[in-house]
Amino acid sequence: MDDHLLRVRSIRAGYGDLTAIDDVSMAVGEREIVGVIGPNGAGKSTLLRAITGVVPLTAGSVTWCGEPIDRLPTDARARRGIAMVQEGRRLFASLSVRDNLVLGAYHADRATRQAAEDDVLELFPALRDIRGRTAGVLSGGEQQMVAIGRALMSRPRCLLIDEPSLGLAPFIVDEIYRTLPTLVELGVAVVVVEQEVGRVLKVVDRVMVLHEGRSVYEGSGERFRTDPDALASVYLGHELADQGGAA
Amino acid sequence: MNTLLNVLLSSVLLAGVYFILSLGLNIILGVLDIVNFAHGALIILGAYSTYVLHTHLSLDPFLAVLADMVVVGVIGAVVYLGYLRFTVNSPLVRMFALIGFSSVVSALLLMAFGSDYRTIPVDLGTWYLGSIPVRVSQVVAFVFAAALGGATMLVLYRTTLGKAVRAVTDDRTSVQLVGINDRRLSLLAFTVGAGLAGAAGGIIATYVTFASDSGLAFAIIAFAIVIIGGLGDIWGGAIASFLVALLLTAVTVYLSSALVNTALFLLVLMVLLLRPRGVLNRGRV
Repeated sequence: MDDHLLRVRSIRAGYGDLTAIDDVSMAVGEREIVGVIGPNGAGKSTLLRAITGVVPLTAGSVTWCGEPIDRLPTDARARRGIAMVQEGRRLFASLSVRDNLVLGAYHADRATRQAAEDDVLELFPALRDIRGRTAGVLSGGEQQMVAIGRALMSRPRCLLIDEPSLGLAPFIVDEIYRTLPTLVELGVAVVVVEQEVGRVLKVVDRVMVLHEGRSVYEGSGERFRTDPDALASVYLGHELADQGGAA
Repeated sequence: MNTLLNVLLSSVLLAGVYFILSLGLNIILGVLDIVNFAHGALIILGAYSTYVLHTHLSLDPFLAVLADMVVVGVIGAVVYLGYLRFTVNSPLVRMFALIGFSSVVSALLLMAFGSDYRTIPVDLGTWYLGSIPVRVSQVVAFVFAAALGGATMLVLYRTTLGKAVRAVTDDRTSVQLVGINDRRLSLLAFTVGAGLAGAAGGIIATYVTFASDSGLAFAIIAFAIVIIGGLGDIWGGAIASFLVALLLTAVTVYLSSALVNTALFLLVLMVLLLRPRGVLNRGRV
C-alpha cells in the first residue's frame, strides 16, 4: 500500500518531438512541502503539467492515493484534489476576482463555496477589497493571490505552484511564501517549483533538483541549506554521491 | 427627414435580428476557437424548420422559432459529438468538415424543397410613429430577438455556468485545472450557438425570402458583425449589429441594394485596418 499522496514513477513528457523530462520520479506525502528547483529549461514546469495532465505522458505513471490517474483528463485529476497555480497566474482575465474564486469551487454547493471563499479571504485579506475588480487589471501580486486563492477554493489535498515569485516584488513574494506553512496546517501538501532557490529552501521539507529534464537529486533540503557548494554542484548537473532521503 | 427616421427605426429593428444572427457564431468562436463555416447552413436549417412548422403544422411563426431553435440545437450537438470533438488538433480537417456539412445541408434542402424562394408571411398590421409606418411583425421579431439575446446574455453574465463558459474563452487550461469539464462546456456552447443560429434563421425568414442556398448570404452578415464587433466580444457584437443594420438599410434606401455587399466588405476592411480588435477594442486579434 502506497502511503504517499502523490507518486510519480519514471515519467517522460514533452511537447511534440521534444522531450522535456525523462525518467523523473518523485513522491509527495500528506502535509509536506516539496520544492522543485533547477535552472531554466530543466523541465520543472513540465513536471507539474505532466502531473496534472496538461501535458501527456509518453512513459511512466502518476498515482494519487495509490490509484493510477495518468489516463484521467486534467479536470478529473483536479476534482480528485490536485490543484495547480500556473506560471504567469493565468487568471480568467475578463471575470471579476470573486468570479475567479467562485469558479475555483465550481462543483461545490453554495454554502461550501461561501465557506471556502471566507477561508481564502482570511488567508489573503488584501483580496477582500478588490473582489469586484476585473482580474485582468490587477497587479502581479494581487493576481498571484487570486490564483492561489482560486486553486484553494476546491479545498485540494495537494497544491502545485509554478514559479510563485516570477515578476513579483520581494515583499509580495515573502507574503506568499509565508502562507505555505499555513496551507500545510490546513492539511494541504504543497509542491512548489521555483528558481529563487534561497527562498524555497527556507520552507521546504524536501527538495528535488532537475537538470536537463532529469532528476539529479531528491532528498532533504537541509543539505543545501548548510552546504551551498552542494547546491552549485547539482545545479551544474553533477549527481551527489549520497541521495539521502530519495523517495 | 421622414426617410432618415425610417432608416434609423428599421435599422434598430433589424439590429435585434442581426444580433441573434451573430451571437451563436460569437459564442462558438469564443469557447471552441472554431470559425463555424457551417453557420449559414444552421441558419437556413432554422428558416426551413420554422417554415415547415408554420405551414404544415400551423404553428404560430414565433412559437415555431422556439421549436426550431431546439431542433437546430440538437443537430448542432450531433455535429459536435459526431465529428467536431475529434478535430480539436486539426483545424484544416475541421474547416472542411464544416464546409462539407454545409454542402450536404444545402443539397438535402434543395432535394426536399426545390429551388423556389419561400417566406413566412406574418401580417400583424402596421403601426404609425407620426407618419412613419412600422410593421408590427418586425417589432415582434425585434422583441423576440432581444428577449432571446437578453436571456443568453443573462445566463452568460449572471450564472456560474455562464461564467464558466466565458472563462473557457479566457483560458481553457485554467478551466480544466479548477476541475471543470471543458468538453461539456464546448458541447453546450456548440449546441446553444447552433440553436441561436437556427432561431435567427426562423426570425429572419419572417423578414425576407430564402432558398436552400441562402445560408451563405446570412453567414456573411454574421461574420461581418463578429469581425466588426471584435472576435469573441459579445457586447461589441451588439453594437456591430446596429452598425451593419444601419449601413445595409441606408445603402439600400439611398444608393442601391446591389451595393449592399460592397459596402459591407468596405466596412469590414476599414475596421480590420483601423480597429482590428473590434469596435470596443476588446476582441481577439
